[in-house]
Amino acid sequence: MSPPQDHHFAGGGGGGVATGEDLKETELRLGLPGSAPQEKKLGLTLDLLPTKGFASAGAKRGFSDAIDTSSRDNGGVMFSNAVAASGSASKADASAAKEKGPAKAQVVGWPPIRSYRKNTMATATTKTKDEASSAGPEPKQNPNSCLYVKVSMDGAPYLRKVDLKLYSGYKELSIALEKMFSGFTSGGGKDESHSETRTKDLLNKSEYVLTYEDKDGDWMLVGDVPWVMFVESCKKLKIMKGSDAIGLAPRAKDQN
Amino acid sequence: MKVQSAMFYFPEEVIEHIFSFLTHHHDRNTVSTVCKAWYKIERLSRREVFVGNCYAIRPDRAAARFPGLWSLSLKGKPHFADFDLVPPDWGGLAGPWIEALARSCPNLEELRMKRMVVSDENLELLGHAFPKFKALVLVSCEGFSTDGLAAVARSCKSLRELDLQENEIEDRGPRWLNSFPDMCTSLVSLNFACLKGEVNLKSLERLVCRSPNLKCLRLNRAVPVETLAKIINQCPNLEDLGTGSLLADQFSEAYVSLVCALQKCKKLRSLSGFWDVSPLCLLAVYPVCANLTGLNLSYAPTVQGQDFINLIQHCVKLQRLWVLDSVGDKGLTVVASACKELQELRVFPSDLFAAGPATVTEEGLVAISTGCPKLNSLLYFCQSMTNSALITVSKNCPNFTRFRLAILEPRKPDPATNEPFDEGFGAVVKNCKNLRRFSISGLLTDQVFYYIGKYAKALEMLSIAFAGDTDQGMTYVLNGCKNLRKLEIRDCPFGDGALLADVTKYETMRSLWMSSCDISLRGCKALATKMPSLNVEIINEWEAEMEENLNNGVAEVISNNNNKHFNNGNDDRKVEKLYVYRTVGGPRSDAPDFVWTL
Repeated sequence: MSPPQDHHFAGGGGGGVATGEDLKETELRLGLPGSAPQEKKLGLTLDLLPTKGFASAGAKRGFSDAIDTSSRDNGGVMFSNAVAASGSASKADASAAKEKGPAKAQVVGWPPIRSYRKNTMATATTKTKDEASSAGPEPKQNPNSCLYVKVSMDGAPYLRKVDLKLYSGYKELSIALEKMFSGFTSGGGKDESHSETRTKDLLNKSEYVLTYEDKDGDWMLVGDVPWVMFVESCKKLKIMKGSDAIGLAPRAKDQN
Repeated sequence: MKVQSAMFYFPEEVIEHIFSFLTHHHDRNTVSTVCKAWYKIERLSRREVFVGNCYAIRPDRAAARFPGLWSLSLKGKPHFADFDLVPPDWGGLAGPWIEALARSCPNLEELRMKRMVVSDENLELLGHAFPKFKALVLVSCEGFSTDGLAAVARSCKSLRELDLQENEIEDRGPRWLNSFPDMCTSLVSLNFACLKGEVNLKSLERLVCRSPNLKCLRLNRAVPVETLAKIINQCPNLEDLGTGSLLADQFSEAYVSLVCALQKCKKLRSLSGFWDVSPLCLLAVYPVCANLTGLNLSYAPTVQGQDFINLIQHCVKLQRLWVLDSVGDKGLTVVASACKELQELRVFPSDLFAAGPATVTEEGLVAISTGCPKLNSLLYFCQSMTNSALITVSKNCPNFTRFRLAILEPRKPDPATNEPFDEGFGAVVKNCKNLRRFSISGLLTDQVFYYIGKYAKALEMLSIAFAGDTDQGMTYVLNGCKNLRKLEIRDCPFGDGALLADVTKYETMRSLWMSSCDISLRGCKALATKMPSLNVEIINEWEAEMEENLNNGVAEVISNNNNKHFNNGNDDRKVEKLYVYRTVGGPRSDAPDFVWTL
């Protein structure tokens, strides 16, 4: 196999060679078949990926498009199998940037921030934006991206929050809640592996009942309405002791 | 003659005693070159060894030269590896070093490594080979998991310090904390803030309970407020605390106990963490602010606006502050009025992807320089800067030893004058005579390098990106900066002329990095030929991609003539990445296929 360019050792760098975007098509590269179209999408997806509230994608100057190949560690499905593509893409774009100015450059390693910090900030920003949007006395619903609601459990010293959009149905939600609150069932959470099964048993045996507060402020039993309808109307979740939930339903919550 | 014979009989013990006052490795290196006798005395008595480039010397040789060493500091990959400019599997392996030490230096107590690849097996060996091992510090390392940490915790009976800073650690579960034996009571410093996964909270609490000497504790994001409060209650003498998640609801028991616990911490001087911090939990921190000398809010994007201002106003003794640019020029102005003792400031960008409304600009920096004349170390990411601001800053703060300015958009000129930033950065090197580390950005011509070569006599490390016009720029630096140790350049139009302008210079330096510049294979070969004491390494990007795809199972091996296409006779081809360093170890034996040592 011959190297991608005639008189370039590898990819971009140096002056005088127009490795403009149009020449990328003719570059020989390794990668999955179809990784070239992915590479084209890279410019678009990047703008949308990190900032949920970011209004105008694309046409900003400077580092709206700055990427880094540390995302190979990170996951972000769009990046993981386009590393080879992104490597050459960024080189080609970097040299294009030299000619055109930096407006749309995808520059590897600029600004000079450690990958660890980039990865950490990506999760920190997402999480805190969600927290901030739900920080008031009532959890606000953010229809675009996620739906954090407070979850309280009788007897637990503090509340938790879950993103309802992460789950596709009641079963997943209940499993997640079991995990989250496994530390608070009677007997304490000393050994996580034990209490997980215990919580499940407790929920099945109806010592605890999962309820939610809907838009009207009423406390409802979880599971009656279709999942999507539930997600749209749920404002808060509460794991009640079975004895407190008598008024809601005569039967135990069927998790299956 | 008399003097000479007197020196000849000078007892070794006395010389050794005199050497014991020389702690810095530069001084010890110097005295070791005086004569054979001094070389021998020095090497047998050296306790702390610093190897700034792990490939500058073979591990066996270093370990054999200093059999009595207690403490080794090692650096591996080039600095630009932090920014993904070095392909994975490049090298920087800790294994050969730990193995060599295990053979020759059984008294090893401390190991500090930066940008190296460490495996779980290496950490197992560490635990078993050094009975007196006390301190492990890993910065920006990778290749290991929590299993490796468990091995260290389990085996090092008198472990005092386990400090993990910004490493990529594979999470294999929270059980590693259980591996600290019950009899381990010696911990002074524990930092696992960079661990991404869950932590066994009960084990953590028990560990803290039996560590009466604990002074520094940095938790990771998985530790909730409730546990934090319990921990602080156990060690009110903490001096350095990195919080876990600081998210708590109002009037929850956890929050209340946190408030009470923090009030007891009279010795707390440094705070970091602040993951997911709610404004309420910030209030809890106020009682300790007055005595803080160090504060790291750079992972707390929610601390901004009035929340930040209210907090920072209490921190009157602050010497070191790391923040995000979301605090804005306004926040920095408040810092300038409140923190008169400030010496080090780092302002990181909070949003890498959006060029939204300007967050910090030259205004914030000028305010800081006006209010904090003791400032000597700066890392500042900003969207906007001007020459006149830089000139003002350099006059207000002549004590800079580290000055790193990253204007986010490459090659951006001064918006006030449309000029390059030559004069601004020139003023910094003119006025700050003690400048040791310098990073420059924005639109820059050869002129800035003229200034650097002329005035930056103390400069040891220079980072350049998207700057300069001709070879002359780099030549100015090589000729003028007498103390230059590390030079790293990316995306500059410097070619073979600059590379070969002063080849003997590289022997006085630790390393040179050049990527996306204008150098050719011919120039690199010439350098290698003229300077056999250097390793001239070329990274072949195409080869690196192939290696990566092989590792990922994406591509089959098509050709195993790995370097064949390097050497097809066309020496005019441009070299994408060059790494040159002095070494007594010869070409390295662990170079991957995509690294070609000329």
